[in-house]
Amino acid sequence: MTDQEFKSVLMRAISGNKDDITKILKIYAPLINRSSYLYNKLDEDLRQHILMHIIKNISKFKI
Amino acid sequence: MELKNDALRCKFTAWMQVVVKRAKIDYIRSLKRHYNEVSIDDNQFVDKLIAGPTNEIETVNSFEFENERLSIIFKKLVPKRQQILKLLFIDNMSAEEVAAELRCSLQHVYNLRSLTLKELKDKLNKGEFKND
Repeated sequence: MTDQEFKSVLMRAISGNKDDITKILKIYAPLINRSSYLYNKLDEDLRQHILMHIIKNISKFKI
Repeated sequence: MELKNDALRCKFTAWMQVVVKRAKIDYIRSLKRHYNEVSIDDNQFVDKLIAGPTNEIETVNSFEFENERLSIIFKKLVPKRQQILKLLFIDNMSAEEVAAELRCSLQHVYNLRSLTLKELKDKLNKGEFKND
């Protein structure tokens, strides 16, 4: 994905487009999965909590 | 233009890292709020702790699971520390009586008690309860 494409996807995600939010979450999946480990074990609830937190707050990101 | 967009990607990545970190802290805090605190003064609890994990088939709830973990850590303690906890919390002896029994100073008993309880707590928090 080029930087221009990333920018347009991000802008649509910020405005609430579900498909583009999914794309952003896929791009950042490694970061999300890496952070979802608690006591060296993948915590699915934590992963869900992080995803919800991102979805809830992505509209607050200022370009 | 490329540089500007690249900067945007960096800014968003940094923002994502902060959001993910905050979400994780928030999640851990919410877990701690629901954590059942167990009093070491509860004799029934200490008896179970000494007895260790049983083979009885029981409905395992989080509290029983916590007892099992504590029992494993307790068995790994130095015998003298185990003895002090047993005397203090099972035999209900005062610190002075324990000091007389073990022929050591009162301060030594207080020090060992606080160190042992701290050790139990630290090991439980670090997850060092796996059987070898």
